Amino acid sequence: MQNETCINVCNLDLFYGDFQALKNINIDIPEREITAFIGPSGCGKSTLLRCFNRMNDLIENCRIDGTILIDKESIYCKGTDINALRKKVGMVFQKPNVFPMSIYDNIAFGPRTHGIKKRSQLDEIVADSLKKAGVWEEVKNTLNKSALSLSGGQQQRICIARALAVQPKILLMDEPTSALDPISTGIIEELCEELKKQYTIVIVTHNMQQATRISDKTAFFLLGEMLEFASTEELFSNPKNEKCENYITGRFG
Amino acid sequence: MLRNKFQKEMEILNKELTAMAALIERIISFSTDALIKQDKALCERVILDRDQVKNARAEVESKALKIILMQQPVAFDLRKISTALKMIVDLERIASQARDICEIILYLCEEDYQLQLEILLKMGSMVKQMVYDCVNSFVKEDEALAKKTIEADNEIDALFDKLKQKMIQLIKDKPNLVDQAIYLLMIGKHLEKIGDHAENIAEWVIYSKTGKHKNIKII
Repeated sequence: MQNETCINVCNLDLFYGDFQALKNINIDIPEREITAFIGPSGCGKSTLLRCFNRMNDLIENCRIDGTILIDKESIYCKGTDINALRKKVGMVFQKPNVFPMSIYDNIAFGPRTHGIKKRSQLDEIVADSLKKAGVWEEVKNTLNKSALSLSGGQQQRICIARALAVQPKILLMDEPTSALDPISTGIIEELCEELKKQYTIVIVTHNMQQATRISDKTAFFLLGEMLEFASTEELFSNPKNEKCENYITGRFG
Repeated sequence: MLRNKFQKEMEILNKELTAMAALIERIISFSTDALIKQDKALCERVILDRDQVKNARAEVESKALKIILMQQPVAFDLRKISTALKMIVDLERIASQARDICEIILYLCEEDYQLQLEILLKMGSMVKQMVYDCVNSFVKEDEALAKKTIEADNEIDALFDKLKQKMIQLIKDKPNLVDQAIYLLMIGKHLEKIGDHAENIAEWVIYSKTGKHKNIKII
């Protein structure tokens, strides 16, 4: 059974000045599944990911044609509330980027900016988010310690908790484990499996074994084009596109 | 995956499989030669020489598993290595069929043949070619050659049927030849089984190319 489409991308072109970074992308990303974006560096996969919460807006000379619908609503129209969008679409980056403040304040940061002031409510959100991110047991007694004192793997889970604290619907992850050791990587992968019951996850990864381990669907990108999009099992067993096969079997890239 | 390293490892795997196939073709030749010449010594050599095939199988097996471990192949690469692992099981069975043939020949060495060996010898040379072709179709990734092997098995089956009819008639006509007829029929059955194993290998080679085994999709 196919889950409903969460993110619908239609005829998307993206330019950085004269350079076209994305060419006519069409993809339906299903909700409550993990979709992996793979492809060599510079293929446009991170660029597309960043379109989903309009992070490309911050880049000068960036121009976008086409449409992106999230829950059937365009996110690139004049009335789009960017704050609401980024609340709905959380992001986790390659390197853990905790704020230089306590663990508690890191998690409470988002809810506070969205107007939640009540201590008891914040306490609940902080505990709940840290539990969902699988890091509660490790930090519950040291919530006032600086988040920077934690290990890389713990920091990354703090970042995931921070993203979850504003109750997003979608989690974007841009190589979330590339700076982590195999144990932390394993923990985060298990976590993704748990989180997808509730969230739609889109993950950019250079680690193809990671894509095969955790994702339900995989999209392959090359030079700004999406050349193949299929169930992960299908794409890694019977890729239809020759360039995709060459890439996943290590013939280039 | 480091492609060059992978390619080199695959070449070694191909060589080991080709060597294993050559060994088995030789065993088939020995068993048909022993049949013609009623050569006890040759039979015993085939029967005793189990280790060579076993070692060849173990080498291919360990090589294939190491490639999976070290290179984590996907898509066609993964199917190809899985096929190698399947093939060696059939190849080993072929060798044991040939040994069984030699064990039967030991009973036939004492008496002169009262029958024509023509069909059996034809089957012997055909299955030897099938073994060569199916392994070669793997090495060369040649689907057409694999299909040819599968078709050849129909001829083997037809030859075995012909042999069976002849032997039934013979037993009816000359009851004193019943022992010899049954032994030769059993040899025919073993040759027919060798054909089946070669066909199995060819089916897996087609799978490695298409992802489908006997038209059923696996991966």
